[in-house]
Amino acid sequence: MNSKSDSECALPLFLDTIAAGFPSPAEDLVELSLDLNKLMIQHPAATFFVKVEGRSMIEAGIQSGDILVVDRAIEAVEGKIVVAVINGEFTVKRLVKKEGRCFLVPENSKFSPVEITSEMDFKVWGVVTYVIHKAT
Amino acid sequence: MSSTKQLKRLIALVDCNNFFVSCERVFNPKLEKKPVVVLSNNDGCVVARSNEAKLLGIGMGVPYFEVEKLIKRKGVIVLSSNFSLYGDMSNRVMQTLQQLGCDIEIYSVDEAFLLLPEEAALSIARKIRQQILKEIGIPVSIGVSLSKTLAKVAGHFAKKNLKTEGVFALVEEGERKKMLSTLPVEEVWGIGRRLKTSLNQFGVYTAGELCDKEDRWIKKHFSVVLLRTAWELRGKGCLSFDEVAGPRQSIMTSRSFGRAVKELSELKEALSAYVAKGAEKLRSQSSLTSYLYVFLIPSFSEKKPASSASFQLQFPTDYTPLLSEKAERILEALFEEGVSYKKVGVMLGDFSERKERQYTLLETPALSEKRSRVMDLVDSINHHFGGRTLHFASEGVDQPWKMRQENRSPRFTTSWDELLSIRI
Repeated sequence: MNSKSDSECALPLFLDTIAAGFPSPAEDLVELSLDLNKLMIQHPAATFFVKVEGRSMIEAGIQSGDILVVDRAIEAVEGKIVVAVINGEFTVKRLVKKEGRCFLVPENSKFSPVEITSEMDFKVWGVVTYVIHKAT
Repeated sequence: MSSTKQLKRLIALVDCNNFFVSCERVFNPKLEKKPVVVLSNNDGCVVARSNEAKLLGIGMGVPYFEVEKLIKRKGVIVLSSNFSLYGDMSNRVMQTLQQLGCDIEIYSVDEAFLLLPEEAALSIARKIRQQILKEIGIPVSIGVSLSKTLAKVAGHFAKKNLKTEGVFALVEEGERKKMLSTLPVEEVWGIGRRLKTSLNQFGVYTAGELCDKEDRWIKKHFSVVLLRTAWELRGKGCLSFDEVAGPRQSIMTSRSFGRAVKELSELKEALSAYVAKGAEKLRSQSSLTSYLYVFLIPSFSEKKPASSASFQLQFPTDYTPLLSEKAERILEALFEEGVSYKKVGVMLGDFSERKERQYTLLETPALSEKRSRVMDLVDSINHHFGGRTLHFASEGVDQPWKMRQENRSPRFTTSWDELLSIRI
């Protein structure tokens, strides 16, 4: 099979699977080169990309302008960095439990944690699995 | 299979609620619980409404100008269609359903039929609903019954009745009879206004009354098609898993093999046949396809997951040899030596109409913007389905009230430049 020399075949199979959300080709394609999708995306249908602006998560390695890989199929347990929605607004913070109370905690000393109370319209949108930072 | 007992299965219809609006809400939670409408680009008609907008009396397919005053007075949020987004979100829903491993038939951008084992059908349906809501953010309603037509009835009930929590099984005979006795005949899948009028003239007003008519009578005064509908309503599934009413938005062809297949050559032969069959259906509805999806399912004993891959064609086509060739190449990539397979299949998607001019990447797609058909969602969606189309401006402003596309939300999932942006 000449898939390597036939660029018309090899590339669309990968690029399309991100755009269209369909599963990546089978694992047994040993001849094809390394695929970032395989590395970073466990649940293609439930994985989304978001861009962030701001510095509240700097100490977690998330810088302004970075792209986050967000997986909605992963359980949002304590310690995970999540994309959450509070009263209709999106945010990205670490989920922390202390003495039975839930907090959304920033990773920057200049910002304060927010407690999640029952009055709040709160939900977890997804779990951040990877941070894509452009080096140059 | 050595077992002689037939596994009883029920048909489930998975139907996304207010699909376009639901897609928008995933990326803009502020739209939740508010009246929202989505307009078609072409005609400035309402192509989707949230429940809140429906309650205000905004009908499906109405021209924007007819409801403009009401919309402004009630503060209804108006969005232009974002077909790239809807197509991608649809892919995600369908992919999630396909990974369940049961027989599936994708019926439209937001509906699919599934075959579920009778025993666990309801609990599986509940899990499906939960999974899609969590993983993709789209609420769905699921109707389970003995036939496609009945599954549609059950699904409709699941959608309207909050008590069902989105899932409803209509299986028991007494319950079926009761529900059909009050269901107006025109609300049955496949029965339109003309049929309704004719049926009413014969004193048939409800689905139940239609069921009670003798087969001979139905065939004599109407057609075999209506007879099939009657059988389906009576609980006899006769629309096979490949049959629907109306032109399809995608064509899936596959079969389980009678025995395990290990040879690539045999798989290729089967796949060729399925591609040919699919292409035939494609031509019969004057469609062209530019999207091929091939899947391969190992025998249960192999304990390996199914594999699949897709291929976007540069030019829409209905030419069987070309489709076969591409499908074969995908199959070669998925095939693993030494593994027994039980099923191979192909889905053709991303349809465009044959009479339209084919376009290349260098020229702007010349879609016929002057369509008069209000509910031409299918074509519009198909053109954007692959996310490959250049974003084209509406052709000419025929009417002064026509909405411009500036109310379109970003293409959150198909454009790197239009990602959801969060202030953190």
